[in-house]
Amino acid sequence: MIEQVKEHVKGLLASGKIAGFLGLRNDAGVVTPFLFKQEEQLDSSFSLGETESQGTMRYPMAKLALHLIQNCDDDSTYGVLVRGCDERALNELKRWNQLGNPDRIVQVGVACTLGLAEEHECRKPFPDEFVAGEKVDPQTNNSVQQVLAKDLDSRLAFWSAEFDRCIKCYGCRNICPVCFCNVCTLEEDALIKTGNIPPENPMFHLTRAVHMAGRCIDCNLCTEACPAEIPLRTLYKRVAEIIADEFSYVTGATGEGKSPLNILGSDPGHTAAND
Amino acid sequence: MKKLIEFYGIDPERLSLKWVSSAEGPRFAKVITEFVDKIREIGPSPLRPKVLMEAVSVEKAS
Amino acid sequence: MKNSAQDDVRVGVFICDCGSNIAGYLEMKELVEFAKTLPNVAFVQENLYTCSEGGINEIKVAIPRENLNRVVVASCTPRTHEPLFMSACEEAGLNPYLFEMANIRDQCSWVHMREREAGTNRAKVQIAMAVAKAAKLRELNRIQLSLSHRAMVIGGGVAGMSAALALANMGYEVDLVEKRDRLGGILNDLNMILPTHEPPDKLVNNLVGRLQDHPKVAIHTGAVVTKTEGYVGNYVATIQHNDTENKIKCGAVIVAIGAQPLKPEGLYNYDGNKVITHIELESKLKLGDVQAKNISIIQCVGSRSKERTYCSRICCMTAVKNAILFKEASPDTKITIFYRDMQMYGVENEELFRKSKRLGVRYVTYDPDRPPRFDGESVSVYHLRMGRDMIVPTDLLVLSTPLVAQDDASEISTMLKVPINENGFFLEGHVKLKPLDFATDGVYLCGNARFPSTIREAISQGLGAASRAAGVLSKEALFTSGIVADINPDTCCGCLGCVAVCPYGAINFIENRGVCQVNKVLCKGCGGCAATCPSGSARLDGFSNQQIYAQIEQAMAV
Repeated sequence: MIEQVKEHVKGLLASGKIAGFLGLRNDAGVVTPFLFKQEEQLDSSFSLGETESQGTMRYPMAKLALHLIQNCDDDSTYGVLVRGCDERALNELKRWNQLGNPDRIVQVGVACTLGLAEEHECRKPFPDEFVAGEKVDPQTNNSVQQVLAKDLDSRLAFWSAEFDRCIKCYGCRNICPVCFCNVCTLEEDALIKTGNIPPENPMFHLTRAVHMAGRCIDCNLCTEACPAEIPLRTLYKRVAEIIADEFSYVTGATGEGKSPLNILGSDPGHTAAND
Repeated sequence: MKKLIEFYGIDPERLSLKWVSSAEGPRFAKVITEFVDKIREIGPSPLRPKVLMEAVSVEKAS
Repeated sequence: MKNSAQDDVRVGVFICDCGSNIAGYLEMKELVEFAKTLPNVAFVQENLYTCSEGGINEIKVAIPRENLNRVVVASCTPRTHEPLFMSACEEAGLNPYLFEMANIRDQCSWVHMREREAGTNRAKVQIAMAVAKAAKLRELNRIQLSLSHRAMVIGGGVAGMSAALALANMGYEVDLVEKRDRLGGILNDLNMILPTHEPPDKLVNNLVGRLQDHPKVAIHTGAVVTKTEGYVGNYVATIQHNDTENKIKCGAVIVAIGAQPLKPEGLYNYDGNKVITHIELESKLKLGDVQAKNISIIQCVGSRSKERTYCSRICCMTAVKNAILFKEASPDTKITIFYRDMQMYGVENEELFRKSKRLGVRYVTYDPDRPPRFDGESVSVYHLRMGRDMIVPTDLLVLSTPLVAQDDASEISTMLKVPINENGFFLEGHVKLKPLDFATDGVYLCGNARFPSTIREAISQGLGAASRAAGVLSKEALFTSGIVADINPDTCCGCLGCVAVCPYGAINFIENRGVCQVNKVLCKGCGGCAATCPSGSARLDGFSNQQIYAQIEQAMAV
């Protein structure tokens, strides 16, 4: 299946449709993101992120694509390797007006294996269009329901114990494909006091959760990246659910819509806040 | 916000967001008085350090 | 001018007794002593009235003498007094934005009149908050703008004409834009004006004549405003007349587009012939085209209903007026008015109402749940007092329908970025404090566009709106407030959240740089953008996060 992707990308490069392909390469056993510009590079080191099996090594390809688009000097078009989660992230970035001209990104889709989908309990383990892999069943993640099953005091004790392990490495933010701000509220001294580990509970994590509203596309990269194994995904997943309930805004969906900040601005009659 | 803090384990009644115009003095007083009364009824915040420490130690022990 | 960026912040605190308004209910000596203990406070003074000439002078003297670089006044409401104290600072050479106010009268002594200790403690907190914020204040500058001294009035009815003429008489050039081919608006359709007993044509012709002869007035009939750009003092409007477009510059805009009578399609077999609206009756009367002997008038047709909850205000007076005219012309005519409540406000109208009764006009009240019915020959209605149906033979049925918003009201609202209410009438800045202004500077409002009004009300509103507009036009230059938002272009991600939230349309997305930018002239300093911005790139000068956090810290600490 890696060959199918390679051939597809080679075709894109050869036709001049894309100036480069943002994918992954295996460099002596280390899988890292790489911008392929020549067909030969694909032959020597192209990877689908396999260490044990396909995709085990995941990177926030949407975020990397955003940086590439924003920082390259010309307005070339680039190919990007996307899974289901990456596609949702790109959709979301587009709705937050981050991608400029979205036509500059050509998605090269790959469907994930069942094993990977199960591991991350992925709600849609394939992009809308893909050149390799097979559609496997969507998986469900019940972590939100598990927390909701607890009473208030148990929830507080649960989260406090989790947050207490935080070493404030910002890994959750740095890996997040939809964290696009140039300056981060989590680094504002006046709001989150510096010099505390764990960071002030619950200010640090709830602040980040609020900023995930209308953004989190449930890719599970944060939880995967967290060295303290805090189930951050559960928190942000709940935030996404709240926004979906209140504003009928589904993160990661395709379409021309705008971010939920625009829902508040354009409809003064909305009274959810007046409660 | 109410739903978020509820998920975190804080009584959502501890948060209130109301629009009160500067022309609505009596309503403002009413809203604040009611909220203060409600908070008195609910009692001290579980986020106060002492209360929280106890809860966490119980969770860690369990 | 002192350098306020220096680290040694010296705050002067002036605590006002407000006669006994504050001193009568709070421990002033305690407040003074408390203020002295606060960080950065270099000087504290109690005044009998800080806003009096003496009090103001004390601020002006203390600033250089005590080397103060921040001033806090703990007194009354900034709404009325902040500008005064700010200018005192300015006159003493201090940037006026290095001033902060604590409202210990309205918010402490008045509301805690019977709680001396609690009120005093609260005043302490508020003074501490003001001082903490003052210490973090930075110099801000107002922007000076040139302006056009020309005005544009949209709508050539009686309100718009009155406004235009008043402005012209004050010496300002005026463009009066009317979409119809002649000036006069709804007055052209009316028969007679009470209480003057004059045909409206006389009023219209008089106004039109004076406008036409006025060298300062440019009348554009059969023309519409298709576009406006700019802001207070500097609007550019595009006026379309047939196929030609004209751009004019103006400093202020008056909205006087009027309203239109509701056509009650489907109600009471309305046909415009035997069943007509009261405005159609006026037109018929004008032509002398009414022969009916049994006339019924039904009030509140299509208004005060689920669909249109409002009262149109003018229909009761109109019905009474026309009933009197009929009776005076031919006492045999039988006239019955079916009503819910008669609104004849003011002594004159009340007298008209009585006169109509003396002349024999019959009034029958009806229950909105059991409205009158018309079968083509007679009106039958459930009589609330008799407890049974009453039948009134009718050969002309007049329906008092409300005035409703013009069809282009929402278009004009969008164009000028001013609000309309759920019924399509324009919404003033404040129902009591700013009745003829919009929240947006430079745009004003009068006549039926605002709400159904009588001719006299429309004229006074026209004159009022002209006066408000002249307040801007008469200035040699405009100054914006220093308290405006700013978006840091280095950190803005261009997510457009602020653009959507700004109620004044003051934020633009700069496509080629991918960032949002505030137009400081349009910005009103509401802070919506600063609260929305996920990255903290939008901030409100004079209300920075640091300043607000400093206040919150004090509120929680004391």
